[in-house]
Amino acid sequence: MSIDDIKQMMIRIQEKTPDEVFNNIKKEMLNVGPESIKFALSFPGMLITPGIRWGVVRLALKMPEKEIIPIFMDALSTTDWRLNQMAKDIFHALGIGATDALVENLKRCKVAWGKVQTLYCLNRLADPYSTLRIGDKTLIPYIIKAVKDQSEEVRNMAIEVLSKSEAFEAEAVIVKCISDNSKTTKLEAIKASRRLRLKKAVPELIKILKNKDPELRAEAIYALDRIGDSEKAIYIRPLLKDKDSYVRWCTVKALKSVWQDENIKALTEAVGDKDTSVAVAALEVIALKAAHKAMGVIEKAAKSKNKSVKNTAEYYRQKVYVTKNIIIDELKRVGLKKGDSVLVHSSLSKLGYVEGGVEKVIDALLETVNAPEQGTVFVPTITGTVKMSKDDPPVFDPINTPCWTGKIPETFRLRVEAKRSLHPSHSIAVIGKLSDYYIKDHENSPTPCGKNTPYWRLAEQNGYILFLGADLRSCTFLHTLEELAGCKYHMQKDRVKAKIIVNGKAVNKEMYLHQWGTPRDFTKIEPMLLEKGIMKKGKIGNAEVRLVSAKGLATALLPIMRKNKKYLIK
Amino acid sequence: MDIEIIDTHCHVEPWFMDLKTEKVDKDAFKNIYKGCRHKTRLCVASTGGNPVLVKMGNVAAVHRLAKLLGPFPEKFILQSMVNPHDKEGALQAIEIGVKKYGFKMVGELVQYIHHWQTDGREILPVIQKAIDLDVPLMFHSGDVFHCEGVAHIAYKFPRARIIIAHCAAGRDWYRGIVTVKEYSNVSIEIMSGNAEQIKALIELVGPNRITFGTDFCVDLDPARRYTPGNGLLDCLEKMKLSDKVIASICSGNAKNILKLED
Repeated sequence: MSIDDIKQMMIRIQEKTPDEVFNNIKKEMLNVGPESIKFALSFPGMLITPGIRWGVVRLALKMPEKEIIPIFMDALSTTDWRLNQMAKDIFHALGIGATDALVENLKRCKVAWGKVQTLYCLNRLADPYSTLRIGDKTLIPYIIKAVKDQSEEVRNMAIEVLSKSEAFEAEAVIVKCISDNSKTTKLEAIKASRRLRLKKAVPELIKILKNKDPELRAEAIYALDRIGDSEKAIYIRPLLKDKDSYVRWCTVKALKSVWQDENIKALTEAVGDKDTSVAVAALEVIALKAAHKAMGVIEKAAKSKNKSVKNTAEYYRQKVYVTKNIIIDELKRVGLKKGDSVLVHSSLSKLGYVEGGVEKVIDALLETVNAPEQGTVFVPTITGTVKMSKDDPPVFDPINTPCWTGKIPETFRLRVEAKRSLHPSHSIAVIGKLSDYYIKDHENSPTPCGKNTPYWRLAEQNGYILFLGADLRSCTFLHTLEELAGCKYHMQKDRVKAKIIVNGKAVNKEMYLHQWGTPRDFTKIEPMLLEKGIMKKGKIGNAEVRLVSAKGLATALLPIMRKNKKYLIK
Repeated sequence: MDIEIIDTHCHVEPWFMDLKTEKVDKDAFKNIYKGCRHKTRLCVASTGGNPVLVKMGNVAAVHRLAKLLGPFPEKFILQSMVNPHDKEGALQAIEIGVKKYGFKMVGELVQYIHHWQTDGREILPVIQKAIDLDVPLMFHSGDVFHCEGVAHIAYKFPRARIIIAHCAAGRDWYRGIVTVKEYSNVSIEIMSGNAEQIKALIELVGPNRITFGTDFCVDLDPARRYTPGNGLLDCLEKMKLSDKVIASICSGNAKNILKLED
């Protein structure tokens, strides 16, 4: 069959059953070779159905690449969408095999549209997260050159490709484009700064906040939002009064990322914005970032006539959000500071919804005392049970035996940097400067909470006991005082032979264990502790927070307990 | 294993209804389920993107879908497809759909049919309405820019539950998923029976953010048999995924997003 025959048949494609007609000539096209493909592409009107377009692409892929690539390179530069699509499909399928030809085309092509389409194809090769997942960094210099192209379209596409290709080396070029004369180039450069979180772009982005065009202002705010430099809140806050509601909405949302307490006042005003999206967003940011400081705003909004505002306020009133920073702020307020040692009793569920979950609570604890550099945090990772006795001695593996004291201690002990003491019933997990000091010889102590244990060492270090959503009922330190005061109900009468697994080997230790079952009333001492200033209270989310000085507690309570050994018994 | 399927992405109108007479072809409904291998519920939109129905307006389309498919709650889960340019109508349609007829989702939202930008100002009230009514949103797929828009919305509306259709971004799907990956409130509807793609998706976002979908019956079998659903299920089963993962993808994740009870 000659090319003329194929031509005749292709004309028939315009009949009612184009796919069928095409199927009949496929074999012949393959025999004729690249010329038949070239011919098919010269009649885009015949490439009517996706089936035909895919069919031609598949045929081309069976032919020699060297002959096919120039044909589709021409197709890439046309403005016919069908030819563009097919060319892009071919280059996508050829993958890395088309790299040199595409780079060459970018250099030589004189048509702006052709360069744009070439950059599109190069994007798939340069972007490490394109479906091809090649991430060819050697292409970046060619793409940077294209940013200087005379055509606005080419410049924009090149900036886009650079940002998707994670080309941080193009930072200066991208930042420069934020002040380009063309609005679309400005926009593309702002988006690229956002994608790459370019801190050097911040001064230019701040300038854009004063631009007359609301689209540019909104995009710049979003970029500053994602770059997330809190010091820049001062430049963003004034835009809460912008004429454009979309800009105000972007501003409200950005103030969540660039957070300063000064945002609260401005956002409180924005809760009254006439635009519902802005008002709801402002309320949400307050609830997420500063619920503990602005509960009044949420309460007031719950009475709003605006249904969305009311709905949002009610949602957050019930589900108070807690963030790491909220925890840190409140712990500092009740008196915990850098360098302190603190034993933490906790209930995660009492806190409410914590952004980032248990890990963020632990981060907050460590950050407040600046552990491990200065301070030390430890949690009771207790494994003792009522059953443990001489007849049923404990077997303890510090690595594999979970504790029952809650999600926070269990997660804490599994952190890489955490160390655990080896006591078979009352172990602790610790992170911090004094880790080794606290865990040392806990397993050699004859009793679980006595003088040679981390609990008493806490008092020696002027440390604190923190109750995070928990109360004095969970205070292990009070068992220490029971031991020191000689309260006999606290301890089992017989020594037990505990088995402790150290480095895979079992080590036997003899010791006295805690005697379970005596009802105590630990909470009755709370008024005294508050009165003497030994305890300070606060609130995080839905949870009450109590911070108690271990030494202060011992000094106040030991004399009483020594006189009345049943003082803590119900 | 008895697999339950919730197909989060379907259309049945207008293929089963004469638009002029509004006569419903009930036999056609039966045919859908003849070929289903398992208990299947189709999650369908109120207009299916059909230009005739789009012109009807937001509220009328919701009433029509409720009339057409409301009597078959065990077979169909309904959602409101709205044009956000008609703000009042869109918000009213969503409210009527959810409160009056028990629609479970807003969508699918198709940016190129109604000509709006994915994260543009027009769509903000629609998203807020969905949050207020505690229903998820389904966005159609698009290019990588569209996925950036979805990511923008997910970032700024952390309470919005979002499904992005057709594995996000066509041939650039991988970049699309990477773009929305960090937002746990975005789930991906797979549609394709491409094992390599599904495997990569599971690696990227985990099995709990993937929902079963087919786009049934667009451009497919003229006999309207549910072949794409069975094809996708075949693919999942051949991948030797655990029963738990298959159950999550086929229906568990959709139940969580749509807040459906067992």
